[in-house]
Amino acid sequence: MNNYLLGTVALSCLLISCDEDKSDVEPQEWIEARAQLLKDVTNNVFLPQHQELVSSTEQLSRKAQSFCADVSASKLEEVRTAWYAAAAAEERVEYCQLGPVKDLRTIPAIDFRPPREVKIEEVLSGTDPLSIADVAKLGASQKGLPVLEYLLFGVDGKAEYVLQTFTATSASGLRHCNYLQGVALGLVSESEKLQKAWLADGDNYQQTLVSAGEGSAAFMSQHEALEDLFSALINGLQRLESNKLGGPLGLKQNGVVQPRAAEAWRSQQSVALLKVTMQALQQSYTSGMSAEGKAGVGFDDLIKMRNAELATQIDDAINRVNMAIDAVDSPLFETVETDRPAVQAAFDSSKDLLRLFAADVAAVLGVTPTFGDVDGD
Amino acid sequence: MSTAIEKLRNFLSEPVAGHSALLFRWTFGLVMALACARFFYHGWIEQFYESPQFSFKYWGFSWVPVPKGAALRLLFASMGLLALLVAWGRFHHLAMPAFFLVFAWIELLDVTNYLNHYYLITVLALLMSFMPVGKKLNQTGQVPRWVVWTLRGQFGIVYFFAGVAKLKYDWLFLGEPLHTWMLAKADVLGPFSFLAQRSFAIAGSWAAALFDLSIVFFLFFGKTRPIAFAAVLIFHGVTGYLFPIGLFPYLMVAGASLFFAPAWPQKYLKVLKVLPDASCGARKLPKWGVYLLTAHFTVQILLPFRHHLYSGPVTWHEQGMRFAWNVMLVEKAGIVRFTVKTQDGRRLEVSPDEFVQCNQKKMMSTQPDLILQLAHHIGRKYQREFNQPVSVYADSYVSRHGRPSRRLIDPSVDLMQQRDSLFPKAWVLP
Repeated sequence: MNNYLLGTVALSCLLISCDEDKSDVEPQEWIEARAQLLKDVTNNVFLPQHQELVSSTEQLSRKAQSFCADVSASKLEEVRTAWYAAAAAEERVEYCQLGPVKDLRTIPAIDFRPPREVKIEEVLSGTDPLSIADVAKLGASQKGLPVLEYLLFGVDGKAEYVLQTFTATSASGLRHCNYLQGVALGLVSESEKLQKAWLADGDNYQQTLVSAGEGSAAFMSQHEALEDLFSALINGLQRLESNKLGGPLGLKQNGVVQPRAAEAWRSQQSVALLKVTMQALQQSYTSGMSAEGKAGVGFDDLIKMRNAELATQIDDAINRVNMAIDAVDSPLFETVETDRPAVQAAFDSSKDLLRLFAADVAAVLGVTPTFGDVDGD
Repeated sequence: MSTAIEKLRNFLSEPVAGHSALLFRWTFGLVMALACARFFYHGWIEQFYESPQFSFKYWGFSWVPVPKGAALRLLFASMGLLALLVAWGRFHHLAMPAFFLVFAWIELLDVTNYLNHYYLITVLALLMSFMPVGKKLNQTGQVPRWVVWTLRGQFGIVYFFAGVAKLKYDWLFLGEPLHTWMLAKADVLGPFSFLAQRSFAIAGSWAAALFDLSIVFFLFFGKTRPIAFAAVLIFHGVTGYLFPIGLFPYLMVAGASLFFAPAWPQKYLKVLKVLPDASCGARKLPKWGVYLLTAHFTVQILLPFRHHLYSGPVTWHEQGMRFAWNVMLVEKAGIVRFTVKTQDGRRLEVSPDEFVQCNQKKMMSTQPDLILQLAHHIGRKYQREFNQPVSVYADSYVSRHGRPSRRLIDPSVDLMQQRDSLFPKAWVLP
């Protein structure tokens, strides 16, 4: 029996020399790279992103307060700028939805899309008193960044009209202000809650992720954490392709262009947010850079270890998406009608990238972009 | 010819100790009751059967109703209770066929939940429905030889054809998908992480293939049986530890125990006493029983070979993949998008996510017949919505064993014009 086994091993070792197209990875290096990836993506990407969300929403809240104390064009511009920053921070957090952001349902709470104008108008035209504190009791469709966008940019973004709604001497002006400040405060609260779930003095999800396979509360192995992370990365890319680009192109709605399906069309930030989404994708993929400027170990490094050619293909595909988005003029809701091919090119390139991730990368890493858990065969 | 059949009939009708068969039935019932409990515990009933708005049907079984809500839970609960009844041994002639029907019904609800061991359970339940094994463990009597040999034969087929299925280039010479899977599990291997090296994956692949191909023969002979059974325990123990294969290892170990002498449990369980069963000898296997068993095993032997009727690797086109013991053989990842075109020139990109769950999407993306089913479902939806005929095209890419992804479905073929059948699918690209 021993001879039989030795023979089998010897034969196998001989056969491996015939292996022409499969690179080998030392398991220990693989384990270390995965552990480092989980640490780097946590420290370089997730924690800073959540900190940025808290800071930007706090700033937004302060600017909303200051605007309501002195309703003027300059203050409006300041609060709008703060809104841009908060929307970008939210976009980064939204891209790779892992752990608390899903468990706490943060995205529906702070970025309920598409905004329900009727519901927002219900609040604005209500006759019951509306204090800042009362806003917290409203439903998700009446809170969040899209509501602030509605209040701050109106339909056409003209400052005069927006200022009028806040300066009205009637109760309406005060109601607008209270609504604005209440929603902004709610964003701070949700952001802080989310950040706390990552920190050591909260639910410490950073430790849960970093200690995958070493006593982690959620992940029995590194691979489980990697699968969840990869699924989150793919889901983010899919939202970019299907919703943010495919939505305005009308690819889901009877094939008729839907300009107002563009995200943040009121603030004309759609293209800017597309770029932020791509930055978030690249950060999640490469694990970003540390505070000291050291490149993190990311999915790109794992792929290089098993298939360097595929890593290059993905870099090229990411560049193609970036270039295609750069070629889309802002605002998106106009460009999709005036230069549909440019938007279609961005959609097509993102679709190619999604294909590479969902099929090629998934197969190379042995990860499946699902959360299914059932007996296998 | 008739003499040979008569001889076979006599041989299969001879009474043998019923211990091993009854112990197997008992284990089978308990394992299935446990499997049912796991479905409730893990929330799989809701996740895999309740939540999906669309169910993928087996070819020829689209008529199978899909219960929802309380009826679905009741179906699973009845499966658990029937499994316990099977283990208990009372009302066997009612409990086992009822269990078979309920289990088969659940399996037919959605193809994306297909697992080889669920198929094995269905076949075993069907076979045992005809077997006189409905006694309590402490009242063990005799059973006709065909009972033990049929069960042995069924497990033998599973092992042997699982081995035959492994005789493929990727498995034997690249160590795939074992290498990828072991690498994924490298950290849980602890000091044995070196086993995730490709050379060991190739060695493991060869060992697994040789194990599957030869284990039945080693189990069959008394001299090699103890070592072979130890190998069974190690093999299924290791695979059960490394991979999420649920209760499959327990079932296979129980199956392997059937190869011991039929009275073997008596040595270890003193409560088991042989009760001569006069009726057993009197109940000769009817002639039609011989024919049925022959037909069953002929089908079981032919099914794994049917993929040769289709050109190209079965792990790519998946025609003839199911019911053929292609166990833990392939790692594929894919993505599919559908394009719907209307007669008045409209064009829609449709993501499967709008219709199927994550687990369904994963399975569907790499299996042409399921892609076709979803294409038809999508087509029907838009035909109703637009009130006109539509065409549906699939943009489908699949990567197998880490190779660059390739198109699986011909993107120029209107899938609404294709019907699923057992004939080769010309619209599946090589």
